Amino acid sequence: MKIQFCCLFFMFSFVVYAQNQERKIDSLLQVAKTADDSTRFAILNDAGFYYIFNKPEKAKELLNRALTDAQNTSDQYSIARLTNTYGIYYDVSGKFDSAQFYFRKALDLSKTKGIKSIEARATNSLGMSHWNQGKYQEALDYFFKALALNRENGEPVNDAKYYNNIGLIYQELNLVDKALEYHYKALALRKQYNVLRDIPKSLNNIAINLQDKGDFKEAEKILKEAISISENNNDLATYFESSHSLARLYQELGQNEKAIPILKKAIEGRLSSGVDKVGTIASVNNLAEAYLDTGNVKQALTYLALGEALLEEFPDEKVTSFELYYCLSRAHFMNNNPTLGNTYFEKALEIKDAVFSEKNAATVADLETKYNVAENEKQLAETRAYLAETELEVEQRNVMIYGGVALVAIFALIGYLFFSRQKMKNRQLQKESELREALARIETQNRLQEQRLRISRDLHDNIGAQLTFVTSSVDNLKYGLKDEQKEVGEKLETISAFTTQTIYELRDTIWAMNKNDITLEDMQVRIANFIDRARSAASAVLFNFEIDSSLSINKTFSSTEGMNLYRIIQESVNNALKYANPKHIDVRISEDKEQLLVTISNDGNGFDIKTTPKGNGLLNIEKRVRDLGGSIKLTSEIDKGTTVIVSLPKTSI
Amino acid sequence: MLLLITIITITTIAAITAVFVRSRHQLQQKHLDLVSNYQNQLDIHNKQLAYRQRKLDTYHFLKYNLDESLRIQKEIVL
Repeated sequence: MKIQFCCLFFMFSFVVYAQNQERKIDSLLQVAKTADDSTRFAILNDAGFYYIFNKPEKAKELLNRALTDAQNTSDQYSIARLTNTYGIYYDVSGKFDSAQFYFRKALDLSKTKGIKSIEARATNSLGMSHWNQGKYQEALDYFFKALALNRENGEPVNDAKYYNNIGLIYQELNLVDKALEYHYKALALRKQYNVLRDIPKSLNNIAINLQDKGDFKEAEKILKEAISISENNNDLATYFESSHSLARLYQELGQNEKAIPILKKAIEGRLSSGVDKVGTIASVNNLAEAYLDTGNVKQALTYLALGEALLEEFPDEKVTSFELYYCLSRAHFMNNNPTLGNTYFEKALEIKDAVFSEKNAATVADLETKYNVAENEKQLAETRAYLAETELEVEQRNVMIYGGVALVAIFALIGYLFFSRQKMKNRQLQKESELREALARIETQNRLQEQRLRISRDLHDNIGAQLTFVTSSVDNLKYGLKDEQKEVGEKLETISAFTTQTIYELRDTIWAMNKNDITLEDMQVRIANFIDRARSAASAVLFNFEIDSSLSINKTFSSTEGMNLYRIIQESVNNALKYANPKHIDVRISEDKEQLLVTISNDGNGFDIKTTPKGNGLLNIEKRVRDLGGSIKLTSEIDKGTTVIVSLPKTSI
Repeated sequence: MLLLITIITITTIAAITAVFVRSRHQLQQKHLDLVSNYQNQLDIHNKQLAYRQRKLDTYHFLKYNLDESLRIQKEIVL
């Protein structure tokens, strides 16, 4: 009851409002008859604009008449403005070519006459026309141009209109965030300049986008605000539009029980007020859908019949008619009337083919445009990507090269440093090794010398002392003997001499053992000393000792060689004195190219080498010669003497 | 990038060179110490040998002064 009462109240209000609107227009038209030209044309323009959406034929007639009058008065501003509004009439009627013709005409005129406000409006109208044809990119370009022109004209409040239109295009392109950005800009401007009439429009657009984003709660809140403001403003068109949007939101949320009363109110309001009557068809359609969804076919059919009646009044609303016929078909099928259902379904298909072929053409054109833009963008992006990739590759290659060079340099440096270090280490090791060897040698030499000295001291202190004791004992014993024991005394004297000689030889041996080398000069002194002693022992024998002048006195022998050589000479001289009874004994040291020659000769008895067996002395000589690596030549002839020639290779000395 | 690589390379080279120079210096010092020690020992040995030899050389054939040359001498402590 309450609802019905409310509906009646609202219907009454709307009727009153519509009548008020009509009355206002009529009274304005009455005023126009007596007003001056510019006021008259302004009133006719606004009235014409109002009738375009309510009584299109009346709008055409009114605008045509006003335009003719304006041309007669040559009021350029009014001509341009009326031409633009006349274009809007054609645009709303779907006659886009005619519409664009008038828009361009208005644009050229305003440009020529420098009427910036109309230039901006005409540009905006061209954008609207392109938008209606689905040419969104062109529409967007026109809106941005219109915005720029308006800024030149210095009417910032009108920027909101262009922001709004730009937002609507982004909305069509499903760029919800961009659309919201421009709608919010428009809303901010409208609030700043307190354009109350247009604030609900911005709110409505914002809500639609929020709904698309899925933010239903915020959308509902904003729509309610839009409804409230437009109601306060008595702006019925926006009020119905916002109500319709709120109902659609509820329908989307499945809340048909909330959507139905709102839609009913919008339909009744529009019908009674005559405001935005064409929009009633969409609301009727939505209401029927809501009833069908809730299973109330009868109510749906009632409203669909109303929609059908309205279609007769607005035959150009093809898209809406398709939706209405489709809904009618569904309702009849649900009402168990397949014949009518089929009929409406075929009608719907027929319109769909007609509408959608046109729409498809527009869509295809739009798609082509979008495709071309997308393709160009894609190509551009690909080119950029290719360039970026190439740049990256070049950079990577450069990095690789520089990195490689750096690595090679580092490794080369490390290699060189290792090599240099190793080389230095090798040099150091070699030197250390040489020093270690030298140290080991000298240590051995030192130890050897120490050992030799110890042995020498032992020999000298023990054996030497004992031999001295033997000599003195034998001498004491000899003095104690009587004359009749002369033979024994002689023997003892021989033993004493022999022992003394042994002591000297022992000393010589010890000396030789400790001496590293013996010079020829040492040898000469030593041999001369021996011959002197021999001469004193055998005064009848003439001794001759000589060293060839070609031999250097600095020539050296090892201590063993020197001793062996000395012993050979000593043994040979002793043998000659002992067995040969010579008158002369010659000792000579000389050399030829390869050998050192030591010759000991005497002119004594001689002996037969073949028959005389070799004694110990001769065998000792031969052994010593062999040790020296030399050879011995012994020649002897009875009664003529004996010669011993010892040849020593120079290399072995 | 090139600058970064250059900086890294120079830094690395400087660091490596520094490490090697330090290591080389230490090695050289160690070697010099060792060589000095060896040479010192060699000198001592040479002195010892020369000292003994000088004594031995005092021996003369005609004098037979072996007592003098074989006299126990002070040993150099190595």
